[in-house]
Amino acid sequence: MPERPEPKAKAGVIKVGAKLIGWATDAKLREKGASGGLVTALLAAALKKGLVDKVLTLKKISEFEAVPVLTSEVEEVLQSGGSMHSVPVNLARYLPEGIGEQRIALPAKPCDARAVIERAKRNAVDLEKTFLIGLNCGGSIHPETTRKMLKTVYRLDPEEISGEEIVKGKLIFFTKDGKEHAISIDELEEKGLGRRENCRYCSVKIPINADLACGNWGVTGAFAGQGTFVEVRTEKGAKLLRNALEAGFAKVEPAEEKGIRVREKINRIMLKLSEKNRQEIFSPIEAKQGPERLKYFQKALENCIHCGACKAVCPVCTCGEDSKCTSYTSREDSYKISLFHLVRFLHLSDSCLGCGQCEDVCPAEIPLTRLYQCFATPVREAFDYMPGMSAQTPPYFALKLEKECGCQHHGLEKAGLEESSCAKEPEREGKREGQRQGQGGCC
Amino acid sequence: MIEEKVYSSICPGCGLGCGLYIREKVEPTGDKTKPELSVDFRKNAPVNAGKLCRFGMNLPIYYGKIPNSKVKGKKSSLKEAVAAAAKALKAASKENMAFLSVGMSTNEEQLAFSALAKTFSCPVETGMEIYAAFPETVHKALGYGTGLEEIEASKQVFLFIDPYVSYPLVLRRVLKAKRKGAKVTAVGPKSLPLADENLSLEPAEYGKSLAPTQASILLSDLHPYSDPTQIKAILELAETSGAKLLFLRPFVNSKGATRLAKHTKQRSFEKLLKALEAGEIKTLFCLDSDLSELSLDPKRVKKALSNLDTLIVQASRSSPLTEFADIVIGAEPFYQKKGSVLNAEGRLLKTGGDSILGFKALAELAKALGKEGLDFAQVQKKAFSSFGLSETDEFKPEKAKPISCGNFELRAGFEKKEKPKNTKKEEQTQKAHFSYNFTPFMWQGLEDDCNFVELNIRLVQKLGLSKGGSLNLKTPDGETQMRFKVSALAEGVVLSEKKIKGLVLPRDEVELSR
Repeated sequence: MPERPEPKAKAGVIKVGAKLIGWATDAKLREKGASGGLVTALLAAALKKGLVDKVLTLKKISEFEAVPVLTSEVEEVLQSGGSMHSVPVNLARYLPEGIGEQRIALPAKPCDARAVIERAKRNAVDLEKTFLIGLNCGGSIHPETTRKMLKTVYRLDPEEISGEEIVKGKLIFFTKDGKEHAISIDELEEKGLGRRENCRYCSVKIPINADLACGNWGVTGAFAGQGTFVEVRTEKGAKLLRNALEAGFAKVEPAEEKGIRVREKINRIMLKLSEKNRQEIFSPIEAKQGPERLKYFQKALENCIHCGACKAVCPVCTCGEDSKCTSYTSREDSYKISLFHLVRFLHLSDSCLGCGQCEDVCPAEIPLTRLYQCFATPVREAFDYMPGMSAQTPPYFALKLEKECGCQHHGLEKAGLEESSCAKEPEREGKREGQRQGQGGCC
Repeated sequence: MIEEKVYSSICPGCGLGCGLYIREKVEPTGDKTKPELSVDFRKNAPVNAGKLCRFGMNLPIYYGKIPNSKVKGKKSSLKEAVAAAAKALKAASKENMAFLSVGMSTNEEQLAFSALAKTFSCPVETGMEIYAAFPETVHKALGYGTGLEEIEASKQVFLFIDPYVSYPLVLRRVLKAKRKGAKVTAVGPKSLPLADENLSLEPAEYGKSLAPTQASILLSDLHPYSDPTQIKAILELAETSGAKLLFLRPFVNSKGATRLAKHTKQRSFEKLLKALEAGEIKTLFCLDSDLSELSLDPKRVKKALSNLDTLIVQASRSSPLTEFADIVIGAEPFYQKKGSVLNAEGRLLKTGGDSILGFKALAELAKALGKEGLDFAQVQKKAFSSFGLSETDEFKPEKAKPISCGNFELRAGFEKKEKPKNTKKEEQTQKAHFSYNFTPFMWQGLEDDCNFVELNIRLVQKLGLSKGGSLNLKTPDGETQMRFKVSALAEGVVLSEKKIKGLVLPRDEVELSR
């Protein structure tokens, strides 16, 4: 790793809105962690200096496996880190339940951060005491898929892999013999491999909902591959960064204009691709109406064995075991469609993030995230509300609905389970526009 | 501060051994012997890719039943229980002893248990009398395994199990095969949604009605209550077609325990029970095997066990048997054990823990009975070598081998007794053939909501049953009221997942009324 110039930036430049390039001061950490090891340095410094009591991180087992652990050991934090695209966990579920005294920091992909925020709305997490170090995310891969693509496309033995990275749309594996093996993600996905389906259409790539938004997009020039682009999103984020600088764990430089533009461009391209993928996946389903649509859901759910794994793993579900949906899991029932899922479709229509955890753990391979998003997307569009992006509650909870509007059915209409009944469509559209502009009013 | 330990373990629910994490949390002021447990998904596990069935999801309940060591009904230390067991074994007559372990323990414990039994010249019983039904030349084929990946690669899948309720982690593999164009044929009384064709056939009809090829796979299971006639028909089908064959197993180490046991000396649970009732067994030692859970008549088991002079139980979880045993050696829960199991596919899996408490207790007992030097590492090596393996490797299942048994007949006494099909129609009373939809002793120790039988709509109409009501099920052993569910079943069949007294083999006849 090349010698670095003494940074010009001091702790004073760290304020909300600042865009910087940062890196760990420790050479070993820079080498071990991804993009200069800044995130690991921030977490370790927060623990070391007592800014937080614990860090929630991934303890690496192998290139394709890591276990979420809540630790108060700086050394354990330093051992974590590195690129782990084949470990698709959502960390929000591992935060201690309820409002406690502990201050906790964690690295958070956009869907992790969104889940933490949704849990906070349900009093399952104290957001004031939770420090979210956001990580840009272009998607993750199920380890079963990773192993399969290594064997069939890369023609590599999974046990020979020593590391991986995604650069410029290519998934690169490093083997123990020091060689690099790169294949474009598009090519992998054409073969039915590559990222998890939900990641392909995810609409949040930069975690602007976290306290810090970190990543390697926009890291240019001498810092390419050696530094992390970090955007300070909140005062808590600024505190985290200042703390690491004061502890001597990290250094920062103001980001160059060119880097800022590159980051925005990458984000735009990624989002555009996501939208294209979303259309491809959902248009055929949206085209189905009435009985045909019901049949689609019935068929998709016919293999459900009511194991409850999808509920247990869901990071935004905080209902516990005794909840509305679990009243419909009796094996004695012979309903023609899973009522458990029907209840959950509606219950999660305002909070499903599309994180894909339910689908990952489904033993019947049901495309659950796709099905849940069929209900969540219309609600999101109807109310212009994106769950997990801020502490704001859904607008239809915050505001009183007009009786004659019928807008509480809007989501159902969009989901195709109810015919349009609202006679005041133009009026409602107008109100939605008003709400977008911060004027309040009905949905 | 809350302490949390994460075990990378496997599920003890069936012979697949699905990978998972068990999170063990102890509150600072909490009881360290009763940690708070939760189950977590291990997506890198090759058997199940992190997915779990209903049993796996309920493991914290299963593991919540921690056994205490006991001597003559009184709580004791483990050391005291081992000493009492040694004393009782020394005093016992070897002609009247039996050792039972069906495969709920590690290979290392199984071998230590075998060494202990050997000091009395006794075999370890696994309940797999079914081996005795086949000539020894067939035993090897019964033990073959192959990876679940083979299912995905097959062009045709023949299901002799219902994967929605038995071995549910097979379901995703069959669905993946189907997505790749495979044809799925379900052989059994129930229509399965994933099947392209559902056939209700007798084993004698397999040969003429099913036409697998070399690109096919046959999925069945092999357990202590398996019907030898059906197993023979499946073996013949595999041999004549060259299709791959995978026998699934009910206990996590069924395959390991069976391979480490002597097949020819096995008794069925029924024969063991009869020997207990006749007073032929006076000392019984059960290793993680609860006869009352394994049997279809727990009351009969309890009564038969009262004939014993001594019942010794070494258990990793409490169960009815630990309640009335004379001596209970309370071992560590399965996820804490250090050791290995051989799953149905032939993958040698680590159990995930670091404790050898249970193994040590058995080694201590063997030592007291004159078998010195049972060292864990050496015993493990011996177990591995008997499987032809040198180390655990969850990514290496056995390679499928062609079935080659030649012409054979079932040994005398194992032929199926055909029961006449019911043709008589009576109002409000119907006779039906009873079958288990489920290996009835899988998923022991977990109360599940299966207190119902399944009938087809025509049978429900004939009986005049009302929705939400129940029916009366009359067996040769008595009557029982059960709730019912309408399913797509063949005519004249009643299915159950719940163990029903007196009903063992498929196609036992029962009488149904409102």
